[in-house]
Amino acid sequence: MNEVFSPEKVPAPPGGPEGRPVPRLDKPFKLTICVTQTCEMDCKLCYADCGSSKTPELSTEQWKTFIDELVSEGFLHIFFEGGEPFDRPDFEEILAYCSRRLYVAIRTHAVGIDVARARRLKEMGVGRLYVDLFAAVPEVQDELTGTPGSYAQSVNGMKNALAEGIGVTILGILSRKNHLDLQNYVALAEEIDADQVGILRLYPLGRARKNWSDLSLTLDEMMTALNGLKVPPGIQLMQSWHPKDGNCCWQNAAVTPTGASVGCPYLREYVDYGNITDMTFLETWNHPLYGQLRGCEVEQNCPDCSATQGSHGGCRSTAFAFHGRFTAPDPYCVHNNEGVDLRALPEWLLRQNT
Amino acid sequence: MLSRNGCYAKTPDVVIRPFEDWGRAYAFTPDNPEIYDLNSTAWFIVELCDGRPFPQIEADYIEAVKDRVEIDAAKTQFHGGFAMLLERNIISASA
Repeated sequence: MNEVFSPEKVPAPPGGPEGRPVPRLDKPFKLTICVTQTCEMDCKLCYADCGSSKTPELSTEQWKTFIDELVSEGFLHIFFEGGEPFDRPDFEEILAYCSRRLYVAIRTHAVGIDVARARRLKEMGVGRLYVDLFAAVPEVQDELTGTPGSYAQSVNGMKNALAEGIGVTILGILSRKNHLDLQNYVALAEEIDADQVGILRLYPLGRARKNWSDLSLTLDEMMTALNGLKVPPGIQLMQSWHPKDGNCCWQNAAVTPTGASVGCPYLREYVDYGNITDMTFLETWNHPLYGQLRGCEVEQNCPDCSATQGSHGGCRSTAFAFHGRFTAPDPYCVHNNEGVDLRALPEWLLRQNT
Repeated sequence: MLSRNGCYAKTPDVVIRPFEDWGRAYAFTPDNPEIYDLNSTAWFIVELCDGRPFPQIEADYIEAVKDRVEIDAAKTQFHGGFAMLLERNIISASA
């Protein structure tokens, strides 16, 4: 027996590229809940464009009912993100409701994770925190969050979690603001003893789309930054560019703060498979477009990237954003880019800013 | 720690989600929050651990695979898988 993995190392199932069928699930085993669209910070890279809540979010009881449904359907893993999840006053109550029933991971800026909260999270069985740092340089992070002192507070939050034995993954969204300092993420992980660093692509969503011209890079600049990273033993680097631009739609599930089933948080502006307050989650799972995206129907494919998950075509969100088709090639893969300038958003996306 | 005289079962509260098409299962261990991917060998051992003594579980495993695996290899396979499941608290000694 040599195939015991942590949840972030879900292996390629049978199937996938080179003429074999793509992997298929009757129902997923993990799901992302974007639990709120509120946040006290004013981040230039925010995908939710969040601030004070604009539309009614699901209530505590509605989320609990949904969690019961997930447990009864055999889900094992729930990933919370926002907005800032901890900005929601009942978030710890929701976490406690998941406790011991589901593996729980949280994407957060960690600013509010003091010693007492870290201890409570440990007691509730939270498995891992994914902490957003838009730059691993204090003054740049503070500028990008619009919040003086936020870098120091985030790092403190991470240290508090690590001290309680909760795993921490430091997330950096690759942008013009951090591409020359990417090594700082690894240095910070070494300094605080975090075992994972995730370098993520910038998506043209929410406030990040509005600030695209200030933030975006060419694909060459991205690859140069990534290829220059030196990662020591003991730290795992996660990234989703070639040769790891897998299409994870086949296993993804996500629900927005208002209950819309959207497959993936990065698809939240492009799809709506139905609302979990009107139907069961599995009814939304059977939405024709959801099924089409899970089927990995794409016009072209990079075999190296497909091999990461056994699925085709790379990220469907960025493929759709730059081409307007869910079957299009993902321009973030060097073999599928086809001359797309990732600094220039298509007209239809720019119109969404007005 | 493994005791050859002990009885073993799936640890209470551990959740197993089978993926039969893939010949594997995922296990969620709430005491030490993790999700593990179990290959068919590991998954089968978990299924055999129903509170019986270790020698019976071992014998059942060897009997089940004897047509495909030599006895010594089956024992090695079983002991390796069993130890790993025990270490991760997916199975544990039962009363």
